Amino acid sequence: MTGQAAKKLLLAGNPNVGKSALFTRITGVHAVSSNYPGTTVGFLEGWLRRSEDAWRVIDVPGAYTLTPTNEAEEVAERLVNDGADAVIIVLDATALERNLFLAFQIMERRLPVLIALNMVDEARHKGIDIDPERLEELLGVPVVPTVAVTGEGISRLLDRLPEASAGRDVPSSREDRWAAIGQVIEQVQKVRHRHHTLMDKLEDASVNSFWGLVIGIAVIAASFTAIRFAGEGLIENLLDPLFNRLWMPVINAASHYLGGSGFLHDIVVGRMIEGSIDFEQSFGLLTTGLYVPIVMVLPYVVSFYAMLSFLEDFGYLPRLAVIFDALLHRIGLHGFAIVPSLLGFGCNVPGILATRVLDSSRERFIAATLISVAVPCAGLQAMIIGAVGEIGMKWVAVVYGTLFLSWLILGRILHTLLPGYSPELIVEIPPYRIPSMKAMGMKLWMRVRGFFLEAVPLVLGGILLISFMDAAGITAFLSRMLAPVFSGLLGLPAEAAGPILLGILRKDVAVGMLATLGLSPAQLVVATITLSMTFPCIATFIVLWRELGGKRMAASMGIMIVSALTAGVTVRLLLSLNV
Amino acid sequence: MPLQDGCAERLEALGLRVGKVIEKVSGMPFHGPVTLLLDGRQIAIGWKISSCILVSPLKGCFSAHDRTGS
Repeated sequence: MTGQAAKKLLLAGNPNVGKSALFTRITGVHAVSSNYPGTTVGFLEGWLRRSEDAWRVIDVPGAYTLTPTNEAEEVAERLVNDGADAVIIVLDATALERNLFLAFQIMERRLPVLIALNMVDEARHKGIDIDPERLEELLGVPVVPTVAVTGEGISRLLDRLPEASAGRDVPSSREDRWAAIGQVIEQVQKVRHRHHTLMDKLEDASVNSFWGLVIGIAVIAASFTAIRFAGEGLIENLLDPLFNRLWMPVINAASHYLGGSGFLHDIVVGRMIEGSIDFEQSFGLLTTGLYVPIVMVLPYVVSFYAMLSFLEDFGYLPRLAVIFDALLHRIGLHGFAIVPSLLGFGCNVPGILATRVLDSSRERFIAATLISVAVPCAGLQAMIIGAVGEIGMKWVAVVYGTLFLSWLILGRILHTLLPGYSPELIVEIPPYRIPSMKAMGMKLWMRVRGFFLEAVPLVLGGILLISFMDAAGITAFLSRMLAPVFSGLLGLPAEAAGPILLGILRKDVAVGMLATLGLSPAQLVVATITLSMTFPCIATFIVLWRELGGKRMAASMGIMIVSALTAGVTVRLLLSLNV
Repeated sequence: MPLQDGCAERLEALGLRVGKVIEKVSGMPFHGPVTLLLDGRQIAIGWKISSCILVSPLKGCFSAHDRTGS
């Protein structure tokens, strides 16, 4: 390799040892990090300049072993086997023995290695003393104690980058490897006895057969209450008044300027509702096009991700996996599938990406399909609460209840029909940690920015498309074509076809359109359920295709349409019995 | 063990191998997972796998410290 070409630096280690935090420190590229194994499932790249050298830094997904047991580990194995000019092995000082297993596997490949002995502060706290000099001597590679979240020791680590070396010979058979690790541990690590702290007790209670359930239900209930309270508060006290006071005069002026009606007026400002502009119903680019994403959806996205980021960084999510394992096993998944599903409540895209931590392709298919069918994203939920909630919270409960039952029933059906078995849960549970406000704030900002950049253009595009389709008569044509399905099966007016098809672009704005059709409560509920469950929005569609492949994605889409219609018809019949 | 491939390897990579001292923290109802304490770390494993871990009590120990066998 010439001096000019960039050198390759890998950051490798067990899951949840702080690789992403270290990566962010080294490269300045913000990698999302959380307190649970499997946050990084793909790999990220960034750059580091060090005197004359330019380094291409790769954040390798966390792996316990290079004999892969899931897709993240397959990626890790491939990256390590491709070779590198240096590998920083990140070791968790609080679980050194287990971490050394992977370190030995990497060292066996004779790559230039240096070791970041991370979380030394937490280890000290737990009464674990490690002698880094002795470890360095035994392994024959540089060892630098670090605390990646605060940045402690990182400049020393990078200073020693040129010293990276292949180190001592390590045994290659499994038994010899463990024996060698045992010898190393004996010489470098001392564990002091320590009394149980309050945090330890809370950790034990969270997986207790009784208290774990109580805490789990309390956490979920409290989270949803807090999200709704914060979301509604932001809308009613801040954004809605702001829009009405500051933006309405601008819009009124624009409407007047454009002549109060006509094609251009209807596209830009929207239709007049009873002689005035209605942000929710006019459906112009500058009215509904901005009001839906910014006022109705954004507050829920912010409050949802604030809550999720806290639970993630505190380390609660893997405990939910333990609590839900028995239930999820009955629908072909193991408990850890609860983590991608929860992410899906924010946006289906990261949820489906996160299914990569699951072990088998069967499990990933079930999880991804269930997320796109029955897990409504924050945008959709905001509109369900906003639009359906207007006719009564009882109807919102019907929508959520149907989605939950569909999730259970469909999962059970897929579990029964698909060949294969559901793998057993094996998951490490991280200790609870008080989250760093700065890291949480950064993560929240990245997620909200992501929503903004993606949602606003799509909502605007959707509204533009609807205006043109209306004008060109395409909507009327589609409504006629699909009328047998919509009026015959679901009991909806033919015009409901337009919004439900618009769901392909974005589902939140589609619910907004349904709300303008003057449907009866039962019709609105049936239409919302069908819209939520049927084909995914465009972003989810793309990620499903990438993750599942064309054939399995087509199968998944077929399942979605059938379940949407089945659920829609069933709810229609049940409601007609009652009403 | 009548389990899927790689299961034993996976447990081993997590540090759970023959001869280790473990403590059972809890077991969830309805054949839910069992949580173990291993080297100061909690790990949760599915009920079926956990039933394949043989343990023998450590002598002279009052709490539920167990020793894995094969």
